[in-house]
Parts: sequence; C-alpha cells; structure tokens
Amino acid sequence: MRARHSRPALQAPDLSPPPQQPSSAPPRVAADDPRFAAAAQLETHDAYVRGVQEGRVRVVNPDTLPPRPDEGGLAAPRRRSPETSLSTKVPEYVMQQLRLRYAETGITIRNQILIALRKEGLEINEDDIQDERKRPRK
Amino acid sequence: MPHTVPLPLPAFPNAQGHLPENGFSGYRDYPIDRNRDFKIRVGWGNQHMAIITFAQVKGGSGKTTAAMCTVAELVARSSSVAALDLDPNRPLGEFFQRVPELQHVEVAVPSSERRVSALVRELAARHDNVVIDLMGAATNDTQVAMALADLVIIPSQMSGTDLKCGVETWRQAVEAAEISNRTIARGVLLARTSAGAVRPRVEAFLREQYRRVGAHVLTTAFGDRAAWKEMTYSAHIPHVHDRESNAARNFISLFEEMMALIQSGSAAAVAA
Repeated sequence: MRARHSRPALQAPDLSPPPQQPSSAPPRVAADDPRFAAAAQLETHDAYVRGVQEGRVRVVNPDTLPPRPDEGGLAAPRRRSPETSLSTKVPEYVMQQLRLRYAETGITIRNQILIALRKEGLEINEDDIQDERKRPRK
Repeated sequence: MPHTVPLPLPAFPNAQGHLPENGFSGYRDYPIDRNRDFKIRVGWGNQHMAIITFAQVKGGSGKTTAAMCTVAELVARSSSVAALDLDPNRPLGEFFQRVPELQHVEVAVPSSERRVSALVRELAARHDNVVIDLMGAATNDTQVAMALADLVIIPSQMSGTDLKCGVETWRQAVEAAEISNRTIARGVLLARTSAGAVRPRVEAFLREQYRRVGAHVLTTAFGDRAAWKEMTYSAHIPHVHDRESNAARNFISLFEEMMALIQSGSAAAVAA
C-alpha cells in the first residue's frame, strides 16, 4: 500500500490590478488643438462664400468645397449602417466627371457611386446615402 | 490666449551633430563624412508635431519641389513625416513612389468625405510632421492649410507676377494667423535664384519689395540647379543621395532656416 503524500497547498495567485505603467507619451495632437479649431472656422460654407466675395478664393477645389448648409434647418437622418472603407482606382476621366458632378450638384462622390449601385439593383438604404458633412456640428 | 508653437529644441544640428554657429546666412560648409550615417532625428518632443504648408497663389513657383525636398529631408533625418497633396495633379505620391527611400511616406489626398482639417488631424495622430502642398491658385484650401500650419513657406520666383502673388499669399497668411489668433511662422522663399556666388540685381530688388510690405524673406534661396529640375525624372534627391553636393548643402541650409523659423515664432517678428 502506497503512503499517501501530502499534496502541496494551493496558493492563490496575485489578482491585484497590475501596477500602473508610467503614462505613455501624450498624443501628438490634443483634442482641443487650436490649429484645427482655426482651420475648421475656414472650412464652412459661409467662410467659402466670404472668401469668394472678398477675392481670396478664385478657384474652387471640388474635393474640398464646403457643403451648403441644410435649408430649412432639419437635421438629415443619420446613416444606419457602420461604414467600412473601400479604395479602388478608376480612369482619370471618370474621376473628373465625378468631381464635376459634385461641383455642380453637391452630391458627394461616395453618394454618386452608391446611387449608381442602387440603380443596378444593390440594396442600399436611403438613410445611408447621406452627406454626413451637412450635419450641423455640435 | 494666442497659441504659440512649442519650442522643444534649441537649434538643429548639422550632419555631424554640431549646432550652427553663424546664424542662418546662406550656405555653410559642413564637413560631412560619407561613411557616417547622416540620419539625425528631427523632433518636437514627444507631444508635439509640426505642420508645414507650402503656399503660393501662383502656380509654378516651386511649392511642390520645395515640399518634396522637405519631406525627403525629414525622412533623411529619421523623422516621421506624412504629406497632404492638395494639388489636383497629385505629384507628391507619384514622386515618392519612385524613390525607394520615400516609398513609405504616407500621402493623403482630399476627398469630398473629409475636411482638410480632419485629414491633417488623422495624419498628425500618426506622424511627427505633416507637409501640405497646395494647389497653385487662390483656392478654398489656401487659408485652411495656412491656419493649420506652424510654418507657411511662400516660394517665389523672380517675375513680377510671382512677386504680386507672393505678396497676396503673404497677406493671406497674415490674415489666417489673425483669424486663428495664433502665431504662424512664415517666410518667403526665393526660388530658382542664381546658384552662383554673385546674386543678380533682381534678387536684391525682390527682397526689398517683399520687405516693403513687411514680408520676411528667407536668407537662404532655393538655387536654380539642374539637380532640382531632373529630380522627378531621375529620382535622385541630392540631400538624400549625395549630401556632399552643392545642391544638397543648399537645401540643408534652407531646411535649417525653416526649422529655425518654426522655433523662433513668426517671421514677421524676426523681420521686425
């Protein structure tokens, strides 16, 4: 008959929270960095119109043209679905046409593509075809 | 309270780690050891990043070349840098792809989905420096990119149109600083000047004209050299591939003056 050996006691592990590491390097850009606040002031439709009237803006970059504020003041509905990025290449003349349409109609390139895809039969909710930039900033 | 650019570094060392001794007055002859790693870290401390905007409401003034060279110099100094290309021809990304040392540089281009400030904020979260190259026209981006900047560089060649547009660009930069209630360092960079020792009469004339309107003109000029003209074809960047060359020394000197401008606050104050 084998002698019963006493088994080693079970020792509770240390479950205390890990010591705080010294804080990592602060972020390169603070949330309230004044550089971005100042630039945002100049990216509004009103600032753009003022720039044109005063002669500071003589050429429009359709890629960065600030959207017109919503007429009637009604908030646009929010997109329903989370977004994922899609990157692709298209012929330059297609991109030029998309930019031109954006300049003429204010419909963003993203939304032009979504509208075209919906015409082709893809299921795309109306709420997801919104220009989020037109939402009033809080 | 006006925002001031943080000044973490007293001065920028040269390739040998020596600090400049004689101010920023034109070319300096740095002994560069070809066998030594020339990389020097350019930094703004751990918590700051710098935004440098190249602006001129006239096209063909040298903005893009100066922006390319600035990105290359930051890479050569092991500094993290990204670029925002607001020129619809998108020259930056295409050029960087052709230079092995610069292929990793992130180049953002605008889209109708993101504001310029949002794009720069995203780049700034990942990189120590952001270089913005504007379209050569008075666009809706001009003052936005200036308001974002810690340093606005206004390249100007010798023509009367360059001067007129350079003054307009300078005034837009002054206004951007006033609107944003910040100190924005700024300077006019004379481009395609004679690379020889004798400065042509028109260069001194131009400097005087800019001074008349209170614009600060960088002491170092961007010399007219075949190396810069060939750069986009040869993918050979003097200050990356041959730092002993005269063209490289010219740009290194210019770069150091630009960095000193950021550190010393507004060029207007320097001029005064």
